[in-house]
Amino acid sequence: MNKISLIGSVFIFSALILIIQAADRKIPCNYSCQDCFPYGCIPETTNQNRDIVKSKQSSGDTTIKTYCGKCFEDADCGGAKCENGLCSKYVSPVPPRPIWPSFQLITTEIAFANCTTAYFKHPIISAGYLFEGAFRKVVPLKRVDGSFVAVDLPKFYWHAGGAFAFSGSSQNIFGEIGITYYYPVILFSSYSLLGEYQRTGSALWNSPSLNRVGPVLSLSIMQNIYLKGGYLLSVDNNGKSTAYGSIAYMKDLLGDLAPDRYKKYLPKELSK
Amino acid sequence: MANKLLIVPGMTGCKLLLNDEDVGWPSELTLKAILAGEAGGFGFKLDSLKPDSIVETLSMEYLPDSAQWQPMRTTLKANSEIKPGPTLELAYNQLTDFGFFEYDWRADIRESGRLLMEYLKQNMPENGQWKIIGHSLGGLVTIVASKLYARENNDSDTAFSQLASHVVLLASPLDGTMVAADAIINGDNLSGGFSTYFKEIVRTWPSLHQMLPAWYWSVKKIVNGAEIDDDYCLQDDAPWIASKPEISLSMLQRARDARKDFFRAPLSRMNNVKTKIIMSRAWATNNHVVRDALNNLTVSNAGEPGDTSVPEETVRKMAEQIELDRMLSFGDDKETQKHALVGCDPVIAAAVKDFFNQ
Repeated sequence: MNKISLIGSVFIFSALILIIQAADRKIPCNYSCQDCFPYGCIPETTNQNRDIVKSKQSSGDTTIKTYCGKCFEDADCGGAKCENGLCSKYVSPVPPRPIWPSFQLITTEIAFANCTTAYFKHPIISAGYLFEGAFRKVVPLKRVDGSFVAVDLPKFYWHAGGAFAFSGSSQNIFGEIGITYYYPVILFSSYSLLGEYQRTGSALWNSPSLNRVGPVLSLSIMQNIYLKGGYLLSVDNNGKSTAYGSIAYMKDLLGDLAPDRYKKYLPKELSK
Repeated sequence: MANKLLIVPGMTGCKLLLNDEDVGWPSELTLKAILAGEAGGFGFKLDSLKPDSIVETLSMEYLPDSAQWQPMRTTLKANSEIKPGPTLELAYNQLTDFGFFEYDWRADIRESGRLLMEYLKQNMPENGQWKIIGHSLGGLVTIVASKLYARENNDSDTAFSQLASHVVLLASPLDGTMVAADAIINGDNLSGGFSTYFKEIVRTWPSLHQMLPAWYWSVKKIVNGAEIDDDYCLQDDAPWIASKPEISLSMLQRARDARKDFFRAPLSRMNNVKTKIIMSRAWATNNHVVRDALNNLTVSNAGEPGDTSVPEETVRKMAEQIELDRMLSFGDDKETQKHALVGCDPVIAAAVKDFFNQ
């Protein structure tokens, strides 16, 4: 045997020893699909409910060891598909962007807007719309575990809304603008201080019509019902000021809450 | 045609029709339960308020075999059938552009998932795909649909991307919820006075059992005055059930089978679909029951952050890396709406809409 053959044999033998040692040594991992890809991250304890093993390991149980190896199930691949012992390559996630919180609602509104004047005959039932927008954006932040979180969410929103009732002999337009504060307490979810405008008359686009403005407080119940109350001052020379109250609610709310068999008892305008 | 938007609503998210007539869920039935309920209720004895009639109407019947996903009967009323009715839109008033998949939320989630898959296939938008929000239980139904569709396509993990471009799992109890445990153990839902009857009803509903908590610290026992993990979960046929022999073992088997086949690694067959798991962490949320020496079970009031139903930290602890990378949680100290109304929350709804535009 010449010298070169001897060196070659020693080299091959050493390489074999290293390969055998590497195969015998289990490479630890952290239940992450990236650690071992395309192999899985396998818990050493396989005789238990894997859900329990996994949740124990996640919650800091250091007695459960994991190693890279052929996967048995999707959980071994960090949630990707496990097939024939190998993990599937999963597409990258779309990271969340900063968002601008807003709220909008098409409403039905039952207003008692002329109740302290001679004009009052019945409540004004109108169709309305409201919009609320936050004063700032929300920026999600990445956690150490890879998930995202957004806290310190906006509590103050600007508010704009309107309602229109053109049916019957009396026509009405309501407009409102103000500030809303979000803070859920029991059934209430937000509170608004609004400036309300009312124009009422038999033909709104012609004079004479009455114009009123005034402050109104609004309480939102579960983001679907708005209770409003305030006092509207006449801005016309001979007009009457009046107390104002209304209930506005999501347009389809009665359809949700009242079974069809009771709808025949509702006023025609509300059963639509 | 553009992509179609679809909400798969959560538990109690749509009405129930008994022989095509609204049974009055949730408002009328809740009122009836309060009026008819005994301890804590008014105890009225009118014919129309008979608790037994409500129990008969809302209870289901299943074979003990968990492999049978479809119910024998959807109601115990003779010659009658319950079907899903219109969705309660009050829970989704910020998601008005969406259509709804209506299903019987009491039923086995695997069957609801199969029906969703068929619906998605049969109503595919031309030149487009679905954008789906699975709210609460609806998220679990969506997961089942994705995995069943994969099975139909050689178990391809990208097959579901032919049907859907985006999926949001919104406040979904990926590992269960103590609300389900509370309903099954204590009948805590319609009203306090009606709980005895409500327990009887919900113990016939597979979906609630399939949403029982799957984390091992969901049952704790008292040892020397301290709470110790019982080392099993509420889906297991384990000591917690000793004082509740009326809880159906076959229903627990349905829960474990659904968990094993579908809910572990929930996104594993949504490869190539843009997915997001959105949760709230703004409310104290129960995460375990305490079992005393007499096997009495008490749902813990010491909650972790969540949405009152889904405990956010527990879901993160149980999540795999692929889920964590797609998880987005909101809020602190009552900054969002609670579980049932997250679809009305200005922040969460904005996040969902923004994701669908990505």
